[in-house]
Amino acid sequence: MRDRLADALSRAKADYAEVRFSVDDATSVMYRGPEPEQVRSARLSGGVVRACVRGGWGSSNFDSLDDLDHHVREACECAALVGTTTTQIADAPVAPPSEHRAALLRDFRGIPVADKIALVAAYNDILLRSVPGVETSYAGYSEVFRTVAFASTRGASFMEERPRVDLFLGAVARDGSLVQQCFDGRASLETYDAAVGLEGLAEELARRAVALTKAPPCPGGAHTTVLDNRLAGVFAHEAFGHMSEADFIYENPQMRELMVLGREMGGPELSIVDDGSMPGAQGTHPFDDEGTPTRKTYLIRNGLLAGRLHSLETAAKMGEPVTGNARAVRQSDRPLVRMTNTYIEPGPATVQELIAGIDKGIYACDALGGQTMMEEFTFSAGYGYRIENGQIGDLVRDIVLTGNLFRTLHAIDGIADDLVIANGPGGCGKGGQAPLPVSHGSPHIRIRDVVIGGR
Amino acid sequence: MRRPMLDRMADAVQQAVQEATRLGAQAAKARFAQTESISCEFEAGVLKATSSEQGRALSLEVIRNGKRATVTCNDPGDIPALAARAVALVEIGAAAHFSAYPQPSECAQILRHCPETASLPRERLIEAGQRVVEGIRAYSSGLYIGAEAGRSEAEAVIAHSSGLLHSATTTRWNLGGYAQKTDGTDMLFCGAGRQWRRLNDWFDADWVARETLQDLRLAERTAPPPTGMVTVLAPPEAAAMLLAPLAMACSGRSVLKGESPLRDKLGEAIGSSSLDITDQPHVDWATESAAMDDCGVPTRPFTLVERGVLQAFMYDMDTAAMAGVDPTGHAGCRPVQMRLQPGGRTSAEMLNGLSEGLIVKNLMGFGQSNLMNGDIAGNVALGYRVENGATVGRVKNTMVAANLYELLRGGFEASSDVDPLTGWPWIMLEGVSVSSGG
Repeated sequence: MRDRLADALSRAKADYAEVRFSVDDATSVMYRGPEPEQVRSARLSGGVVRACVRGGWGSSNFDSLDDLDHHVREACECAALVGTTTTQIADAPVAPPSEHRAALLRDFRGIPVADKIALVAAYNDILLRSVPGVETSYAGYSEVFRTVAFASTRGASFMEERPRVDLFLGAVARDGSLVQQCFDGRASLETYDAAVGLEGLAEELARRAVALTKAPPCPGGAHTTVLDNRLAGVFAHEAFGHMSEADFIYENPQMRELMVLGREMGGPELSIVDDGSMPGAQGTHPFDDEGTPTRKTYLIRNGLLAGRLHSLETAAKMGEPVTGNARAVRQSDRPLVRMTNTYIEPGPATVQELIAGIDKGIYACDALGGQTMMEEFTFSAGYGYRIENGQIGDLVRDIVLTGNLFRTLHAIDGIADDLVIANGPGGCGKGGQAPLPVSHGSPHIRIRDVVIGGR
Repeated sequence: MRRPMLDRMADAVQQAVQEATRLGAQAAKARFAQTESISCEFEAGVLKATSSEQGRALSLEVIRNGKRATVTCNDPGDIPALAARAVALVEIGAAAHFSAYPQPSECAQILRHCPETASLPRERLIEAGQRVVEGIRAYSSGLYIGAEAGRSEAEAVIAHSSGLLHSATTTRWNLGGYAQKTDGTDMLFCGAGRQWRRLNDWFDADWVARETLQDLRLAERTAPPPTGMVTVLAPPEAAAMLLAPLAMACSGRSVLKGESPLRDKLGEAIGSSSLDITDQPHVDWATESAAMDDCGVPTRPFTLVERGVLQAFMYDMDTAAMAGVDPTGHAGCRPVQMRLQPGGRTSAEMLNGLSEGLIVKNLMGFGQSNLMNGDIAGNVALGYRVENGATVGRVKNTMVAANLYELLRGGFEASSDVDPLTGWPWIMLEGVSVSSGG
């Protein structure tokens, strides 16, 4: 396969060209309420040729290799129509000809679909029946085994197997017209066992959903807020991580000035990292989708802007090291600059010390999601508690936090020592491409005066 | 016009259905779709990329012994293997509450394929994108400007074991642009875009630029947001987003699963008497219009809310059987093209009559709220303070929060003027909680 791709590229009339082709084998099961609602299986192939001519890009995507030469020509012709300057591609290490077979600790392909359905049915039963007051449930399992082949005119050539298993659980409780939902799950690139043994989680979700129907909404306004590991990880990803993606910066002089390396972003205890080479995490691969080796990159180190995430083009145009962060989601997507595994490094405090210093505040837990528009961000906690006189108090619901990135990073005044990396289902969205498998993590952190929307 | 590819696709779906039936399926349905498109993209004010795209997908749903399963592939060359996989999977399939697809019946004729759109040349797309960029650049050379333009043509064929064979060809163009204005740590993002199936005067780069410039000018000044319980005006695109929870709550599946807050409200007032909401799947050239849903059931104009009273829920084949009603032509229990009935005053009159309020054009984080409960919360990504009938400046670091059903029962009004493409009016909502970080 790799030879076929490289052979087609040998006829590319371009300064740079690459081709990626993948085959996905996927199965999914979804319960919603007492019955299985979906059982699906798919075998889909797809790919994309991308070419750069005089700095302009062209691409042609397809679902069959039958006419690969045509797609190489088409991508080159598209690029030639665009380019008027000079192609700039970083002179960086490339993926050597190699094959990366999946080394699954427990391979989901050897387990009958009936067993997977039985596993989901058991979780679903717990969600529905363990706690009175649950109205309905969500319990889903999905697996995909993607085989990717890649070649580029820089000499990169690899085949990688990318397995992934996702387990998704949710409980919906209702009290009159008030509906509350709690979701969680696990995902793994390494083992089917990540989906096993989650009975306790299912029961906890059911209990929390019912409890939230009795809890008051979180009061709106500015609160000193402690974020748990999961929510602080989403904060690191949403509020700051996207700002460090160089494709938002490299062609924008004002943004380059704003995000100049060395700028003070927060206190000296604050360090934020993206690491696509971290073993066992969801954003981990040997190479990105341009054939560049992945690595650990400090984005903020000791409070100062230390680096950013790059593709081959953004690194060349900014004169910075490549980082292996060009990633695509669907088979035919062009790679964009994306995060991999992003986390805040642990600090010196204990969680108790963070909370003890607060007379009146909010302890916000878990994440329903987040979104950024660079300077401003917002994300939602799954649930939370009041903090009063240094003690965690009553449960509250409907916590949506917002803020200005620059002010909020400076407002972090406590970082705990309990780093946790979350590997959950779902992923990141950007430029119409979602969900990209990523991990994010953090210790507990404390932020002064976070704006929470409330009624 | 004869379309050889459609003939081959029709053969493939019929063969898939026959093979599944031969292998023991009690009912089967196959759908084959393929799309071809081209597009161009401008970044930092210059043409950055052009692309060609093509894709195919053949899916087969089978039903047997009260169970159903779906398999999908994009290689139609091995239909026997696809059918065999489906029939094997259905043994452990999802619950099926129906055993046969409905007999074919007449469906609406909707204009959806425009030859001029299908043949829109790449050069014209690039020219339109360039004109968007130049129009926005007229405001300031210091802006970061992006634009995109594209067109696509799709063919789809559906067949099932009760005798249906239905095909459709559609086209679509899209044209949009945006600007990012950065001043220190202050950033403004604004833009506009359109899509339609027929190539007409709405393919208008100058309109995209004008809309974007309008926001750039309105946002030149900032103003503190009004806080507390505030009256909000939302233009058509934001109005459609804010009312999206209503579509979720009118899903027959959400009702049957007990999670819809409207499940026991049929025939009851859920909003003011000025609230009329319909599903309009037959609008010629509109991008979501469809004569038939993915279950093979004809679509039809459908009333969800009339004079504030909840009239009906949306059901697909499976949920209709569960509820003991006829399917409503809503595969996935979602509306095809939800529309809000216009009101009596123009949006300009509504704005003029507002002594203090907030215009919300774009809300960040909307999807993270508990939408099923009708909760609306998010950061005002683009919005303006209103004083004495005029916008006085852009608001920043501002959160809004409300419950849609409480808003609909309170002061709710739709404008008489609508967006010509989406058919949505402006809306005015009283009593939205607004918080500010200062």
